[in-house]
Amino acid sequence: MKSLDSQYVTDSLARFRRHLALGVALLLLLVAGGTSLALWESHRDQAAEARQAAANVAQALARNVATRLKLADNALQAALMQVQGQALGSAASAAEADRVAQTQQALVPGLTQLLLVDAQGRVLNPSAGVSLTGTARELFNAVKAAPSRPAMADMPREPAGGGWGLMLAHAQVDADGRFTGAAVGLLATEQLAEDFRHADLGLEGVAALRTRQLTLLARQAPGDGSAVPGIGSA
Amino acid sequence: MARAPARGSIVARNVFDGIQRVSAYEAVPGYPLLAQAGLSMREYFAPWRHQAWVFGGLALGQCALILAAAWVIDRAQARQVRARQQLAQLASERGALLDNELVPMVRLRDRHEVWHNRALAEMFGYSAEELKGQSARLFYPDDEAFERAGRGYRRMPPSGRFRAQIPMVRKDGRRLWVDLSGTYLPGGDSLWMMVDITAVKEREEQARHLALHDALTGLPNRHLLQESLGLLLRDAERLESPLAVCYLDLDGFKTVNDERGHDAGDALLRAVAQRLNEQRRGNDVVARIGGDEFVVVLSHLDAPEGEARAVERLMQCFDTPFAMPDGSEARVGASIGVALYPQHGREATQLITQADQAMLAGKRAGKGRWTMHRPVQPAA
Repeated sequence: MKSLDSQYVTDSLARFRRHLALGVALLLLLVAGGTSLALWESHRDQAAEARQAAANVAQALARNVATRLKLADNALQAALMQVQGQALGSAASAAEADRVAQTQQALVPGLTQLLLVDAQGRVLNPSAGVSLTGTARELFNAVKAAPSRPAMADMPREPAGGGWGLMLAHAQVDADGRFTGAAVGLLATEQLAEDFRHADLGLEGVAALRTRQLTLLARQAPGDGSAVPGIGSA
Repeated sequence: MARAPARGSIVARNVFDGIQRVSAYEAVPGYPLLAQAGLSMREYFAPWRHQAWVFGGLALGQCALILAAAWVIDRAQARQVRARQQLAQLASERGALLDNELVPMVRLRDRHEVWHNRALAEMFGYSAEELKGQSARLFYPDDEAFERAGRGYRRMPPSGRFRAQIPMVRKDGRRLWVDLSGTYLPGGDSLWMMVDITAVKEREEQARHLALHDALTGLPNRHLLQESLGLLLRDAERLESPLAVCYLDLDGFKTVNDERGHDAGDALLRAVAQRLNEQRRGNDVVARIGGDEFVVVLSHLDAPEGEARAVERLMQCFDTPFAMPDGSEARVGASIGVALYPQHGREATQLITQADQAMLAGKRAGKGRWTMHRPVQPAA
């Protein structure tokens, strides 16, 4: 029989404690590892869910913007159709053009300017108070060169009246396909940002509209309280 | 974005507000624009963080439980190991106590050896191997003693102890007196302790002999005479057989003692005792009750006048001189008084006194004769 002296007891207890400590360490490792793995998995799922949620919001925003731009383009197109064939230069035609432009502007919230321009670049609705210069002329030239495609400025514009806007242009051609004129409109970015306000972004979320060159056109951040800062910058 | 111009997502920290967001972009259909939505990671992950805290807390709780359980197990193991150590120590001490060379012990199952210590083997003269599995009969002198001990053991209550002083036998045949004590053990075994008391028994026997015999002649003394005479009287009464008590006093002993010394006197007394003892028949008793006085009890005197012939034989013991150690001879005679059962009495003391009186009467009448007790006749 093995003698159970005090040294044996000490050794036996030390040996047992080593094994116990090893077992406890393994269990702790298992618990910690399992918890970490579960948290990592759930974090990954949560991140994927966040990406998907952001993608959904971005997709909804893109469709809203497309709808808003299409509405503005439709207004430009409708105005052009309504003034088509009218004699230029007469006071009656100018008044009609003003009426048409104002009617279409009223139909599209945020459409702050609408210029009706003939093929030579003359403004048909003088009450608009602006001339075909700068970005408007560039867009006019662009749609004149390619009438089948609507044009849009790649930078926001801050007109003298205040507020930022996105300039759009739509060409008109006759039955023979000849360029007969264009409509140039300015859509307020504030209106776009207003559309973003309805998006579920939380308190620290942000929604923005950018050009392909990443120039900021509109921004909505519920935490900021203002949609204006940064517009026009990349 | 260059790789996925239509849609995509990134996670980045905004340099202006320092908020980390997961941002997704989507190309606006039909326009060279991108719609971008950024959700705050901190905000979006708030429920997850709460869940993580709960999980983390549970995990910490589990860890605390594991550590507490380990602590409890460690304490329990320490207690168990220490208890085992104490048990082993007790077992070791018990083993040292049992396996000794002083007190013989044996453990039996169905009266067969299952364990014994060295002292037992040594006491009975066997080797350890010879005793393995042996029946306890080996230790008893005969089957009867073995069975007697077995009956006593079987009568023992389960919680009781058996104790007896019994004779046993060694391997070499020598008898032993053993103080045997046994007790039941759990599981049906029994443990027996044996103490060799042979020497004690011998001393007891020696002391008893010394107490009941005359140290000089080895003959029974007055006490044993009284005891033996009592037994003989009961036998005589039962068998209706007569009995004679002879009180014998030496004539001339004082002269030998005075003239030739006490050693010669002692030698003479031993020689007289031997000669009287040689005349002893069957249950007769020859005792020395002091000085030069002897008592001889003659039993079974069935023949007519049987006591007279027996007393005459006693008297003839003194017809020839006694040889002394120095080669000389000494001559003494004897005066004998005789009292008869049942004629003269039925009590031992009474018969001895009557015989003594008869001897004294004979001495007064002349030495060297035997005298029958004469009862005193009541006055008419």
